[in-house]
Parts: sequence; C-alpha cells; structure tokens
Amino acid sequence: MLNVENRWTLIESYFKENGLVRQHLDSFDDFVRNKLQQIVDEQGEITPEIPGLKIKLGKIRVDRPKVREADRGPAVEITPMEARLRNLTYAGPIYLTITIIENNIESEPTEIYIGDLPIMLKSVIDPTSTMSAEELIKIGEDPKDPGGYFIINGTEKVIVTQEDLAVNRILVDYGKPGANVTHVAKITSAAPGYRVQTLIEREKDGTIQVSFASVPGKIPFAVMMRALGVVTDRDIAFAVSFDPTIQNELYPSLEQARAISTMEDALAFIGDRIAIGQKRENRIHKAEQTIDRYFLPHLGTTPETRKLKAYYLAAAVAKLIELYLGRREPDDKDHYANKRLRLAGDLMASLFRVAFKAFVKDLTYQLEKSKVRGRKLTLSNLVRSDIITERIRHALATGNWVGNKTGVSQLLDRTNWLSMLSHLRRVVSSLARGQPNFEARDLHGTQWGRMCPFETPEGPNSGLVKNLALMAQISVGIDDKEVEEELFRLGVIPVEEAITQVVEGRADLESLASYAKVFLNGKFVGYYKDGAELANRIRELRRSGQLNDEVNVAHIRTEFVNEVHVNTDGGRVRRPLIVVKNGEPLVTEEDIDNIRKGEKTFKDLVKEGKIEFLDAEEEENAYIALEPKDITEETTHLEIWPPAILGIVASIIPYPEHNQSPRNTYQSAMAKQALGLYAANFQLRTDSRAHFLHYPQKPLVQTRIMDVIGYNDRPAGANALMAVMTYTGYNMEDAIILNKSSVDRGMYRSTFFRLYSTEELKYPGGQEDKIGIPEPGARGYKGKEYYERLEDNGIVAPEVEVKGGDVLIGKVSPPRFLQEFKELTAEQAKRDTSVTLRYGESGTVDLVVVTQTAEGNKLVKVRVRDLRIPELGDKFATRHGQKGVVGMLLHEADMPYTVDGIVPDIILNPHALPSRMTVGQLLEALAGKYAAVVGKSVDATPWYYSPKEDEMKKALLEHGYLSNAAEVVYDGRTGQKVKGTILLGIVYYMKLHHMVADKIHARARGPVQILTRQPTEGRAREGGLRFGEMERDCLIGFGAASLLKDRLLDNSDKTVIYVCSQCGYVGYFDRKKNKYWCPIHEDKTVLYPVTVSYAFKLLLQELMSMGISPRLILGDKVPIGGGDGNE
Amino acid sequence: MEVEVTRAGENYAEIKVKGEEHTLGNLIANYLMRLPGVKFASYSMPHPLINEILIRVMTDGSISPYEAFRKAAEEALKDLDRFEEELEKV
Repeated sequence: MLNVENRWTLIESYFKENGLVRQHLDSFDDFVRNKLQQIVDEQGEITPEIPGLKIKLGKIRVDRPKVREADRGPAVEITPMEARLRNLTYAGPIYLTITIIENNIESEPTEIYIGDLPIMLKSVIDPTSTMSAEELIKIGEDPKDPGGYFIINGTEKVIVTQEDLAVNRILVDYGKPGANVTHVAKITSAAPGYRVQTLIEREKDGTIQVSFASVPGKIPFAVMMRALGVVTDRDIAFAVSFDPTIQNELYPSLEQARAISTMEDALAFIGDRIAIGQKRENRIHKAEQTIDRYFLPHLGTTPETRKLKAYYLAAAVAKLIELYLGRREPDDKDHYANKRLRLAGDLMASLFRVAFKAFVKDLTYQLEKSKVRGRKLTLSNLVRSDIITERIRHALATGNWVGNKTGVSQLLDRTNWLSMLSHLRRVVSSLARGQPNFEARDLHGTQWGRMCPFETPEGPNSGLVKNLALMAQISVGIDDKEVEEELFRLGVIPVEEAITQVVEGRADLESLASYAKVFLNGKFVGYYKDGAELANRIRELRRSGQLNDEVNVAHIRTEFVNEVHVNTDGGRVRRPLIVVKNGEPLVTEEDIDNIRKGEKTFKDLVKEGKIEFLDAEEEENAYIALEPKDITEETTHLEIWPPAILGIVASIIPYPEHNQSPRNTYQSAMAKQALGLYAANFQLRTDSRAHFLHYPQKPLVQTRIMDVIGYNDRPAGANALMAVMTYTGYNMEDAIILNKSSVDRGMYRSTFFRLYSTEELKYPGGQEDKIGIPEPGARGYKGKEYYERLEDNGIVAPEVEVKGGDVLIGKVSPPRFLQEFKELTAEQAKRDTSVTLRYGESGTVDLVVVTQTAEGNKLVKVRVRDLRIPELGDKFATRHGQKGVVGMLLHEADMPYTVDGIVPDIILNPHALPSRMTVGQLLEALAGKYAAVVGKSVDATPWYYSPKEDEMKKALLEHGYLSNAAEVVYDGRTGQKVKGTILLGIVYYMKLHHMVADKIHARARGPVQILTRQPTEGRAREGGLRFGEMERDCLIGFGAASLLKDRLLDNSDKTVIYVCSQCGYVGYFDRKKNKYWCPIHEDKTVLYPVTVSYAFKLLLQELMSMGISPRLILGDKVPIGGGDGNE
Repeated sequence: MEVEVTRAGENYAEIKVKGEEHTLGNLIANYLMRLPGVKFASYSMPHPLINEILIRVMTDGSISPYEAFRKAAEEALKDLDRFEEELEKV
C-alpha cells in the first residue's frame, strides 16, 4: 500500500529533480532552444531595396554570460556575483549566422554579434546551472539559490508569470441584457506577434453576425462562410452541424445572405467595407488579403487556410446555437482549463520578436544607406548590436513590456528565503484591479493543486495575485502537427471528409450527428465515433510514451454535448497524479523502494505512465482518490500528496487545517516580512536594503515541506517560550510582553544593511564627476565636519561609526547647465554631489566596494550596518497570522515563573485567541512543548501530522506536565501564586521588518518646501504632521480662532507682502533705494504690509501667469469713524 | 534611594521611593500589614519602565503613618537579622 511515507518519497524525488522554480527554467530553456530560432525563421531573410541583394538569416546562438569592458577588449566571462557587484547585466552575446546573397551568389556564411540576451540564472545557457555546490560557493553564490531570475544592471529581476484567458478558443456567453445580441461567441486568435479578437453574435432576429478587427461593422455569417469558400447553403449547414435541430437555427442567417450567393459576391461585400468605392477586383483582392491576415490568424495567414477558418467559424456557430438551444452552459472564464500562464520564456519571446524586428529594420536601413554612398558591404560595420540589447534591457529594468503591460519584471523580493521563493512562483492576473471581478477573485474548484488557496494579498489585489501550489507544473507547449497526424491515424474523420461523405451519401447523417467533435488546441479537426474511446486511446498512447507527456485530452459529454478536447499548447497549469487502474494505483511499493535506492526518479515513473500530469480540462474526466483507502472501481487517479495543494509560504504553517482560513491567508502575507537568513552569501551581496536575524532557528514544530524548500537551512524566526496570560496589562490589544533578559541574551537581534552607492559619470563635453573630498568652494558644500570621516580617496573606511547626514562618499560634479560656469571660477562651478547617510539613520560602515562599471566608470558602493535590538513597538508574529507589537520588556525577575523556575520569553494576551480561532497556534504550543521535552522536533504537516494530539498529551503527562500544556506559575514581582494555570508552550515567533527605529519621527522646527514655504511632508524629509481639513473643522466648530491661526498660518507659511494701495498689486521693499516699490506706480504710491499665507501669494502670481489680474483692495482692520472700512 | 512624601493626612501617608521596585515595596507593604494599628497598606509600581514605587499606608490613629513605616522597616530588619543568624548555624 502507498502509505504516507511512500508518497512523501515521491514528493521528495519530485523536488530533488525539479527544484522550486521549474516553470521559469523550463519556459526560458524552451525560449533559448526553440523560440529564439523560430523568431529568426519567421523573418527568414532581409530584402533591402537594393537590386540583387538578399540577406539570409541562419542559426541563432547565445553564448555564455560575458561583459564587454569599455576598453574594447574581447568580452570576458562574468559570474552572477560580479554582475551584482558591478551593476552589470548578466547577459550572453547573441550570434546570428548571416549569408549575403548578391546577384544569386551566396557568400560564405558568417556569424555576427547582434546584441546581448539577459540570461536567466540556472537556465541551460547559464554556466552556474551545472556547477557543484563547492564551485558555486567559490564564485560567491548561495549553493541553494534556485535561479529563475535575471540580473539587470546589478539588480535581480523576476519576470512575474502573467495569467490570461486561453487564446484560440471559442468561448460562448449570453449577450448583455437589453441589447440586440442574445448570445456571443468570442475568439481571441493569437498568431506570433499579434492577437485579434473575433466576435460571433446571435441577434434577436435569429441571424448570426461575425465581426473582427480591421473590418468595420458586422458581416452576416453566411456571407463570411461564402467568402471563405463554403458557398452553398447545404455546405454551410453541414459545416455547422449534422444535427437538424441546429441546422434549423441557421435559416435566418441563410435567408439574410440570399442575395450574395457566390464567393466573389461575398468577398466584394466584405471588400466594400474596407476599400469603399473602389473597383470590384480591388475590393475582392483587399477582402481576401484582410481575411487571410486578420481573420483567425492562428489557423494560418495563407489563402490555403481559408477552408480551415470556415470550419472553425462553423464550429463556433454550432457552439453558439447549442448555447441558444440550452444544450450547453456558457463557458466558465474562471475555469482553469480556459486560462493560460505566460512565463518568462513567452514574455521574452514577444519582447525579443519586437526587438529583432527593430533590429532588422535598422539593418535594412543601414544597408540601403551604405549602398547609396557606394561603399562595399561589410556587415559587421552595419550591424547595430545595441538595438536588441537596449530594448530587452530597458524592458527588464523598468518592467514596461511590449503591449503596454507594466510591472512584468519586478525587483526580486529578498526579505527572506520564503519571500524570494514565493515571488518566483507568483502569478498575476491581467484583469483590471479597478473592476470588482468578483468571480475571478473567488477560489475556483479547478485551482485545487494548481494555485495556493491561502496565499493571496488582501485588498484590491485579492484573488488576482496568486501563487503556484507546490506541485503545479506549467506546460511548455509542443507542436501540434504530430498530434494532429496521430489523431487522423486513430481514425478521426476530417471535417471536410465528413461533409463529402454525407453529400455523396456514403455516410448517414444521423449517425454522424452522434459522433464526437474533436478539437485540437481549440481547433475543430474532425469527427470520431466514440469520444470516450478516443480519449482513452490517446491517454494510453501518452502513458506508453508514443505521445508526448504534455498532451492532455478530455472527453466532455453531456446530454447534448459530445466533444473531445486535445491540448498540447503551453501555459496550462498541470499537476501530477498517480494513475489508478482497476482499483490499484500503478505506482507500487517496489517503485518507491527503487526511488529510495536512487535507481529511479519521479521522471521515470512519468515515462512509465504510472504518474501523469493532468491539466484542468482533463481533470474533469478524472475521479481522484485523496487516499489509497478511498480508491474504488471507478477511481482513475490517486492524489500524491494532498498537502501539496498549498503554496510554498502556506506550507510552513503548522496545523493549518485547525485554523480559521483567513488566518492562513494573513500568515502567508506575513511570512514574507519575517527577518531571517535571506541568502547564505549575504556578506558578499550589495542589496539596496536587507535585514539579517542574528540567531535564526529552525522551528521545533516542523512541516515536511520545510526541508524540501530549504526553510530549515535559511530560517526566519526563533522558537520562543510563550505564555498565554494577562500580566501587567501591557499586552492588551495584541501587544506582547517580551522577556528583557532573553533579549539581552540575544533573542531576536537583527542587523539592518543599507547600501549607498555612486558612480563617477562622464558627461558630454569632456566633463566628469570626481570622487574625493570636495573643496570648500563647491556649491552645496556641507561644512568641514561632515567630510571628517572620509579617507583621502573620498570614501569612508569600514567599521567607522556614522550617523544621519554624514558624508559616506565625497563627490563633485560639473554644473548642470553650461551658462553657470561662465561667471564662476572652475572650482566654484563644481557641485557637491556627495552621498550622505539618510536622515534619522545611523550605523557602522560594513563594506566598501570600489569597482568599475561596464562603461569604465568608477563605481563605489558603501554598505552601512545597524544593530537592531528588539524594543518597544517592534513587530512580531507567530505562524498563524497572530501579529503584535512589543508592549513591554520585563526583566525576568518580574516575569511569571513556574515551579521549575522557568520564565517565558513572550507573554501573549489570551484575548488574541477566541475570536480568531487560531487553534493551530495552541496545537503548536503543545507540540513545541512536547518537542522540547522529548528532545526531537514534531511534524505538523496538515492532515498527516504525527504524533497526534493524544500522544503528545500523554508524553507531557509522563514528563510531569499537565496534558494541556498548562502550568502553575508564580508572579515574579510578588512571589505569589497566580490563580489558575497558565498555558506555557514553545511557539515559533518571527520578527517582522516593521521596526520602530525605521518609523520613529518627531519635528519641532524643520525644513520647508521651496514652492509653498509650508513644512515638508514625510519622515524622510524631516516633515511635520499635517493639520488637515478635518482637524481644522474641529477648531472651527470649537471656535478656537487663535489656535486655528497658529496652526494654519503662524506655524506654517506666514509671510508679509507689500500691497499697493492704488492698484492692489503686490510690491516690494527695495533695500538699495530704501523705498517701497509698486510694479505699476513705482514709488508714487503707498504700500501697506499685509500678512498672508505664502501659498496665497503663490496663488496670486499663478493667476497672473494665466492672464488673470487679481487685486487686493485694502481696508482698515478696525473701521475708523463708523464706516465699514472700505471707502 | 530617595524618598518623597506624595500625599499625607492625619492617618494616611503615601510615599514615593525612587530607585526601588517590587523587592522593597512588597517587603514593606507586607510588614506594614502585620503591624497592629495599620488598617491598610499597599504598594504599586506606576510604570514598569520607571524605577520608582509608591507605598501607601492608613492607620487607625493609634500610630502615625510615618511611625508605621519606621516600625515596618525595623521589623523587616529584625527578621532579616534573625534569618542571618539562623543561616550561620547551618
């Protein structure tokens, strides 16, 4: 029998083989191996407008990661760490074989360098993928780093997986209520390089209309069919269906197109929409072109594919009519069978395609230009390699992808090990965040085993940002040509053949109507008698290895629907399952033994057909047993490991099945903020900011997955003795009381690293930056004492204590504008652009790196470290979404103690528990205590945990504790016994990166904004706290006028302006003339001082700049002589 | 140690002891309660991070509150001396 241990062996084998970021690596490998060449082949050759000249594009190849230094030597190989340190891009040169054909004479094929391709770490073309742990350590890598990201200008970038609706599929739905359209079929047709939407609508009068991009308006269905070469009513009807009920629904459409009866007429009709008022031949020609190019381009863009398109359209119409007749339900857009994930490889392919097109365009232009000048063609001089390099690098650096997508590439989250892994497995939906999209956010049944049910953010992105489940695998996509041939070999009758058979009377209409429709990647390929049999035969072929294991097949059978869907495309989320036949799982104990002995791997079992990957569509046909004991005669598959429905982050929660589900979601978000060992090579790294926990511990209460994902080697937290009690009251409202003595012994200490860096830039005109101690004359010179800590080279030395405002790297730059230095001397013209430590921060200089960028500029990086000892207000959390800040640090003498004199590390308030129902945390406390008492860690994997509660309770009792993990405690302050018993157990607590030291802020006086002269905003700018509108309302309501003036004017932007009593314009006091000056009346008037807000003065001037003339009419503050002060 | 009277009445006194915490407070309060004539005695530490305590005592008039403080301290010292003597014998 396949017990828990045996199935766990399978999981271990799976991860040992695949790692945790297989989807990215598979996808990128496929891009490098196949897609890159395909993109070149799509172009094929370049034909510039030079008679007799052609350029044939051949093989494309990517070399190992290299950098071309500024001194123009040969490119030298680099390691990822060198790229990170020197702000380089980890990219390999792309070489393309080019053959020039001049007047039909082929030249020798030459390989030319066309640009750099960023290399995904640990992909096939990355040399580190084959290195041993020792070699990796030698080049400064973390040996367990999973790769799957890029290094662009020294920063690590992830291409986040994009979730999209499946393309090339017919999706039917009801029309909008109230509209003329009753039912719609939508097809997003995607051909390499572009996607086009086709809409097929059934209107209230029963007619069916087709519309697609680049043809305005709707085209009657029958006209479209005729244009595509299916001319007669009979052929159209048969193309749609052999079922008379469905054919019957075509009458209105056929009737509507009665007047257009030939292919030419139909084409002319369509051409009329595109090329209005042109000659008939032109219209026909234009229509043909448009149809070939923009109508269902995924089926092909040549005239030969028109028939194919006709049958595809007919199938869509059939589906539409079925929906109308109530024979089928509208397609579920949230079903994972209708979704595809676009990974790094796909996204890089679309990016490279655009970049390569631009490259070819430029090359053509350069060739023509060179020819005009009558020079000899030397390709190597004409090729501009930076086009591809820069396009790709820019997209990866900013995240702005082709097709106006943003946020595709993101900075890899290195808060801790889990956050990094989770980021690499993140999936983002393309749906707009603004719209509610309620259904799309809901957990769908088909997400089982594909997407983590817990790990999603709260708020606007909830349910739209997802994370892959542990065993989810994403298909790369294989060519469907072979599969199509195989289908015909299996006896699938092609559509055209079926129609001919019926027309010629060789086949009987009724029986054909009962045949199953066969779809290959959404394309209607033909009919087959017994759909279930076909599906099973395909499955057997796959299991026996005769078909690629990426092929999935589903037989969808309802009362009316009878379809076989064969899928081979990329981006389907699939999951492995053990095949069950005749009530017996095919994986045997012998197989497991072989895996343990290392004679077999997971892959072998897949090859043998004992384990197979199912996509969401095929899973509809499966009957999956959760446990071997649940297997019945009908069972087709056995779940390998039910806990693998969770994602990586949710997998570290002990006893998650005992928690209220939102708590697991909160925990999944919080685990990514915990401090720990984020990478084993953190000492070498130059992350812009990083935290490092000093004594990370692996949890006493384990889950099995922790070992696999490497959490135990790079943990983020520590086991703490937790007491649940009210004590002193300083743990109210989710606060926790920390044992000060434990903290003094080093508990939860961490180090914060921040990187400061600068580059010696060169400017056009021969000017350049200079790193060194700035001369006192430079603009923005801060004063001698700020540069005191600099060495002679202008850089601070390691281990120097620094505080906010101190200069770390001294630098002067040339003036920003050229006019500036006409008047000034050379020294004065320089600007001080030194790098200073951030306001409010302090620390010790930890590391100084002086190096060179690829451009040859001097690059200086200074890493500053700061010790963070837990203090009041620091944030901590358990693994159950129970977060809280430190409310009090108590000396251990004042903490409660047990009979044994044991003192807790953390006191949690009992009110944190009842309403949140995190029973898992109580279980963890019990299990943690058990683990500490017994001396071995506990397995708390959901559903399979052992020991069970009873066993742990018994053991505690045997070791002299109460079975509920509670203990008698005494008040440390008085020595008196505390009434009742107190739960004392070991719980894994994490320190989160929200610390008081980063947030504490106050201001009395400080900087003001230049424009408005109001106080600045925000801690980083030493800003004030805003006295906002609602606060203002309070003062008005209370009638506290003086306080109001104090807040809004005196302590803000109070100014005195001089207003001309004659014209009401703002004047000024001219100190040279010792006179008040009005811009209109000069000194022949009286100016009065008026106190206003500077923002008001600004408003007046802004109005003036728009041509509005605001005037201030002055009056007496207190009316004199009984007047109203306005005369 | 620094003692300061924060509230005083005929039969009532509250003193603030700076630089001391539960160790002294608990001891004195308990000895105060044992004294004849003391109706009420207690101590508190207003904030755990500020090292000062408040000791309160109320008498029935037979002794003054300050007398009570003194007596309590004497009793405590006496007991401690005896404790020391007993220890010597061990």
